[in-house]
Amino acid sequence: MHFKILPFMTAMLAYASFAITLANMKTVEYPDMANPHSSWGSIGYSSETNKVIIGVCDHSEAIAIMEWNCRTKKMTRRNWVATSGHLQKWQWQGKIHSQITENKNDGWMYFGTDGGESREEFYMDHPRGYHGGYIMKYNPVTYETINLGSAIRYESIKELVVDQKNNRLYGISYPADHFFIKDLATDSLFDKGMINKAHVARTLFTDKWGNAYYTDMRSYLLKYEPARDTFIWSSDYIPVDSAKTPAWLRRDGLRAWAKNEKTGDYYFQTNYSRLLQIAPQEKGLGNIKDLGYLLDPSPEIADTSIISANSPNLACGKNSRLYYWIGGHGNYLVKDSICLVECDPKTKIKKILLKRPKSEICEATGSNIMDKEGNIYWAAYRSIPGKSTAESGNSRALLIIFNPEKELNK
Amino acid sequence: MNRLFVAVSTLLMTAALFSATKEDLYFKGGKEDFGCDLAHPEKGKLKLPYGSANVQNAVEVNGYVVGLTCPEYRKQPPLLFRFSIKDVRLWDYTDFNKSGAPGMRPANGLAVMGNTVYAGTYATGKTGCLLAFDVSAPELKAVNLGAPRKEDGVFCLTASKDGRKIFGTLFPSNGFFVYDIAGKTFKVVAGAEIDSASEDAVRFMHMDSTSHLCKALGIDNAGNVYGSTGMGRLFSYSLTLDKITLLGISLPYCQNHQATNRVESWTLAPNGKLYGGTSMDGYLFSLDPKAGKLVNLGKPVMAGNLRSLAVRNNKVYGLCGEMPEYTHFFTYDMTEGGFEDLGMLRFRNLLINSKHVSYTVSHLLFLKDGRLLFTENDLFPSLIFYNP
Repeated sequence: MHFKILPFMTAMLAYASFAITLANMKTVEYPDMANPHSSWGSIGYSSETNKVIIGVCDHSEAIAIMEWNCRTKKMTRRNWVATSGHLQKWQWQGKIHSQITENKNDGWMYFGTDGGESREEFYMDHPRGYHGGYIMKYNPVTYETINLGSAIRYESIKELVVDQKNNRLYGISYPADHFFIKDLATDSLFDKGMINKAHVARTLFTDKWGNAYYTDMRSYLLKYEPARDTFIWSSDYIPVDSAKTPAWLRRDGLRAWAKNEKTGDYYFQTNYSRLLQIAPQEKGLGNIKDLGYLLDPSPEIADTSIISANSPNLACGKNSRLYYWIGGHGNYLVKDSICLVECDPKTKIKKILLKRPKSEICEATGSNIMDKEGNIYWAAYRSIPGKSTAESGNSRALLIIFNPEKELNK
Repeated sequence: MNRLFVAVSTLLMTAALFSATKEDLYFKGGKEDFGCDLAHPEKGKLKLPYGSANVQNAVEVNGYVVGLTCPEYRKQPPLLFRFSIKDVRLWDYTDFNKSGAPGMRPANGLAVMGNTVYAGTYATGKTGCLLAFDVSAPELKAVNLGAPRKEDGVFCLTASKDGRKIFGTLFPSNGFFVYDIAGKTFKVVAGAEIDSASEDAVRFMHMDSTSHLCKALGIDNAGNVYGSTGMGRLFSYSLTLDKITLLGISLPYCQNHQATNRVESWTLAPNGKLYGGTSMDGYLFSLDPKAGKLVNLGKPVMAGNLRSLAVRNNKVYGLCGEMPEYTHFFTYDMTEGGFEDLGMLRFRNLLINSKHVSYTVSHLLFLKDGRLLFTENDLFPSLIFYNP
């Protein structure tokens, strides 16, 4: 009898000894920048140099390329996008909104630039309006940035990922949601048309065959297969509680993704806080498994609050568990506090690990950013007193570093 | 407490003001208005094939919206489809290739005579043809009526007022043709072709082979036809004289844009005037056919390409802006003058029960039930039904 409970007791002791506390995380502010508002989604990991690259902006004049050296634990501002990308005044950009993705074929970090929404949208095709976003690449060894040209006229670039197999880039433009392909070998650009004009879902991911995953305006999973140069659709909605999820939220699609490097499975979450697992395959969509909401409803937290909560981030730790922050843009589970949640995809059990006030962390973004030591990174911001909302002014961008298996300050 | 109330109220008012400003970008219609998707794959439902669904034009015939598509992906064929207005669903479609015209582009416009819809085809170096579709038949089938002229295609077409003829222009010559429906004969009438000086001007601009060709034909109350030829000059075809006359009138333009200026759209108003829109600069103009006088009414929006026009209750309704510029819906008050830019369309889409933005709208048309129909020309187009 005693022997039967021994493994359980050992597991409990092991769990207790590794209980996640504030010591498992730290935040880093950005140096040498006057007004670092935001770094929305613009974060990537360079495995070749063991650096995390972040795009930090003030939404107006300055977009900085920051580097966190994972070995020396030092943050440095390396470059400005406008000057290093040789942009003229009429080519103004508001921020980097896309992921910053390492191209394993050349080691450069690829990203797209964005107009910053309102200014871009309201002036649109005015001669002094927004010219459109640019595809750029940054070299974390030489700190050089190269502007690879524009994508879709008047449209900004919300997403850009690398198809490592075919050495191509897949991008999503805003606001008309064109899916475009940039072939790096031939420097060709292909506009595949507007694939979701109801809303630009904010993320896109690729698998080892170079297939790209996105959603259409119904919240159907959409896969682009480069081998056949075609899109295929899942046969039904991504699981959704239709009665409790407003249609406008359903149409908003993918928000963040992560990959389990051990199993090859991918995880993604929707704008209505549904967590899913997909086993990608070369042809066809692959099996999709519903992991439920980001958090199970409780007497304190209703399912409708979870559905509408903001969580534009996801990471899969070396322990094969998922980590994500819930809260942001005025939608929080706990009043004015953001929550770090852990999910075990095997059991679908989720639990809140940490709660932080908005003054410390207001919202976190970033998909699948983890270094060799298992440290997870998010591009986040904290709230500061001011008049504007969310990450558009009364905010200070910061980097979150988190390791579920070890304390960072020791 | 009072301070808290003021602070919360100010915050809410600021948020409302911000959202109102953002929403003002769009024209949304009422609760009963909607868009119906044509091409997203749906279980158990007939949809237009992906990549071939881009709607270029539409007419109403026999209880159907009959639409013409111009494929987004070049290798796919243009389609003609029927959409049941009563059942609010795509009824069927047929592709142009089946008519023996593979690799052709669809002509601009559709002509309607009774229950028959006429369409045309063109392609560089090929002979295009006129096609007829019987919309009352159980199955949509294209009947090839032949070619107006060897090595020419049909670039645009419209139906005569008396219902006996089809008028059109040719690709690449811009020649004018008349098709007699009863006699099943074509006649090319000389005079509307692009002259060599105008062709040189287009070549000098290095524009494509269709940018200067007449894209739409207007018809006045007397049944005479109006179109454009080189350097944005207007021509007319006299029904009684069976003759083309250059009117000595140029379309409005911004300096140096004449070479590729053309009429993009026409509509006939109850006051007997024709209202037209230009391509490059997106001007609206009126043409008094009796006085032979053109008045430049101005530009409704920043964009070029005044794509489609219709008149109702002393108002001109129009669409301006073609990709990469976004299409705006506008009106012009025929009595008082003046434009109202209503912005981009944002209607409830039945497929998702939520709103979608129309970035590119190709055509508008008043239906017999008084509603206004908009067609989109993108990868996943909708038909949008709006009760003005």
